[in-house]
Amino acid sequence: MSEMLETPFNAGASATGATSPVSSEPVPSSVPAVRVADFNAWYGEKQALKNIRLDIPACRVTALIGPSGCGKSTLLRWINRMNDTIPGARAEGLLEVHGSDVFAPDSDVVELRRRVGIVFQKPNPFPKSIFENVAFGARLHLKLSRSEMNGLVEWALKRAALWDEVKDRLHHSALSLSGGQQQRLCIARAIAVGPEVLLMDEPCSALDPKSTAAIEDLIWDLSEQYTIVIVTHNMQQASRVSDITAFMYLGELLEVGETERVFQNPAHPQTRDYITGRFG
Amino acid sequence: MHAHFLREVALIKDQIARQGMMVHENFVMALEAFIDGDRSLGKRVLEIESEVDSSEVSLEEECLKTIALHQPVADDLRFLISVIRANHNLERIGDQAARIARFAGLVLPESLEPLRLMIRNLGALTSMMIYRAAHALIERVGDEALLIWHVDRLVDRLHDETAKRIQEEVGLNPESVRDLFTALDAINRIERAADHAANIAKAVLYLVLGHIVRHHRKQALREMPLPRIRLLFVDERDAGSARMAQSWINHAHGDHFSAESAALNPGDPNPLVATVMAETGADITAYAPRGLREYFETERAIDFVIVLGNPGLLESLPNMPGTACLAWDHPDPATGPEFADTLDALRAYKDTLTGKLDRWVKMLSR
Repeated sequence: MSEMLETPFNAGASATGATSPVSSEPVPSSVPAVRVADFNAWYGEKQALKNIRLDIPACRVTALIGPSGCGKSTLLRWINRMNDTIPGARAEGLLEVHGSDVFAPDSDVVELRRRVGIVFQKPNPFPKSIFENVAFGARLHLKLSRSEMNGLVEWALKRAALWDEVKDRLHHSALSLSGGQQQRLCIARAIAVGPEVLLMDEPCSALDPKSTAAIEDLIWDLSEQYTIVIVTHNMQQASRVSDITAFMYLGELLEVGETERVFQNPAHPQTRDYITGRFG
Repeated sequence: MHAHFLREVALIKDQIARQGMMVHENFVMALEAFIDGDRSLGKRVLEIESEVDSSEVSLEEECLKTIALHQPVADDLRFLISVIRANHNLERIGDQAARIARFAGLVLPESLEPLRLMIRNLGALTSMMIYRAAHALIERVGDEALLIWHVDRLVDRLHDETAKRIQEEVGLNPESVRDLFTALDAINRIERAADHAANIAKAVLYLVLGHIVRHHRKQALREMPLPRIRLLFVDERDAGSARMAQSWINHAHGDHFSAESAALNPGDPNPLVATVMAETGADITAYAPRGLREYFETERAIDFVIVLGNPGLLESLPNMPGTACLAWDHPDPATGPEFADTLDALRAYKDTLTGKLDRWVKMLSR
C-alpha cells in the first residue's frame, strides 16, 4: 500500500504498518496466525477432514487447493466457526487463532468472527447503502462518534481500493455496484472491524477477469497487514496470489509448502496430477 | 483442454527425439568423414546440418506456443524448459559436427596412428554422450544423465591428453604441422560437442530432480546414485588380456563397475595369467572364455566396450549407438599374455594394464 491513510484509531501513525484501526497489536510473523493440529471434522457420519496439521503463517497468503469435496472449504469455515450452525457438523482437535483456542468454552463466537473475517464466493452486501455496509459491523463492536465512523468507513473503503469509485455515492444502495465492486465492498466490511485473519472462499469465481485482477491486487496489498487464507479452484490464481499452497485431497492435507516450490516441483504425486490438470 | 496439452507434449517429445537422432547420426558421420578423410561424406553432413537448423527453430516455436497456450506447471513445465535447453544444445552440436566435417581430407602420417586412435576414442565417447543424453531426456532417466555428466569429465581429461600429444608431435613432425593443427581444432570441437551433451544431461537432471544442479555435481550425486558402469573388454585371441581386465575391475572396483569379457577367437588362455592375477587377489578362473559373436547373440546393455590390442577389432562389434566403443593400444599387446612366457614379463604387463584401468576408473567416478 502506497498511500498514507489515517484513521480515528491510529491518528498520527501510518496505516501501512501492521496496525489496523481496531486491534493495534502487531503480529510477529514467525508465530503462525492459525494453528491446526490433529484436526478432524464430520458432517453427520461422513468424515470431512482427517488429521489436519497446518500452520498458517501470519501476514502471508495461504491458498487451499484441491478437487471439489476435498474439505478445503470445510477447513476454512471451521477457522471462524461458520460450520457451527450446520446440523450434524462437528469437529475435534486443535484449532488456534493467534494462540487462542477457537473451541474454548469461554470463546466468544462474535468476537472470533471479528478477528477472523470471511469473504464468500458470491458477493453478499447487505441491502443497505454502501456506507452502512461498512459501518454495520463496526457499530456492533465499537462505540464511535459520527466523525470517527466516517473516518473508519473511508479508511476501509480506501484499503479495499474502492473509495475512488464510490466516494460520491456512499449513500446509494450497495446493490447498485458491479459484482467486482460488491466483492471489494465485502472486503472493506470485513476489514472495518479490525480482523487479524481474512478467509476468502473462492472470492473471484463469480467475477470477470478485470474484477478478478482487482481483487488479486487487493489480496497482495492486504497481505502486508492481514493473514489471508484463500480457497480457490483456479490454479493460476493460487500460483499468482499465494505464498503458501496447501493441497487437500479426500479430507486429508497431502502437501503444503512455498507456492513456487509446489508449482515447480510438487512432492506428492497427487498434487502433481491435480495442478497439471491430470485429474480434478 | 488437458487432452490437447498431452497431444502437444507427445508431438514435442517426438520432435526432440528425432532431432536428437538426426544430430547424433550427423555427428557420427562427421567424425567418420574426418577420420577417414571422406570429403563426400563431409558434404552430406553439411546438408543435414541445415535441416537441423530449421527443425531447431520449429521445435522451439512449438514449445513456446505450448507454454503460452497451456501455462503448464510442475514437471510439464520442467519438461518443456528442458526440451528448449536440449534443443539449443543439439543445434550447437550440429554446428560442431559441420565444422569437424569441413576438416575431412586431413591426412595423418602412419607414424601418427596412435594419435588417430586417441581422436577416435574421444569421438566415440562424445557420440555415445549425445545419443544417451537425448535418450535420457525422452525417457526422463536421471541416473543416465548423471553418467553422461561423468563421461564428460573423462572426455575433458582425454582431450587434454590428446592436445598435449598433438603439441609434442608438432615438434617431432614439422612436415605435418598443418594437419596437426587441424587435428587440434577438431578435438577442441569434439570436446565442445561433449560439453553440449553434458548440458543436455544437466537439463534432464533439472527435469527429474526439480531443481537446478548444473553447478553442483556432488549435490546431484547425493540425491541420485551414479549407476553401476558396465564394461566389456574385448581381445582378439583369448590369451587373457580381456579377462585380466575383467577380473581386475570386478575385484578392485566392483562396487561401481561391472566388467565382462569376450574374444574374437576364444582359445586357451596363458596359464600364467591366473597365477599373476591370483597374486593381486583377483580370480580369473571365475570367468569362462566367451566368443564375441556368441556374446552379442543376446542383447547387451553396455556402457563401454574396450578393445585391447588390435583396434581393427572395433569393426567386428555390432552397431551400438548408446555404447562407447574404444580401442586401447597400451599396454603393447606384444608384451601381453599371448607372448609373455615368464611370470615377471606378465607381471609387468599386468601392472601397466591395471594402472591404466585404475586411472581410467578414477577419471570416470571421482
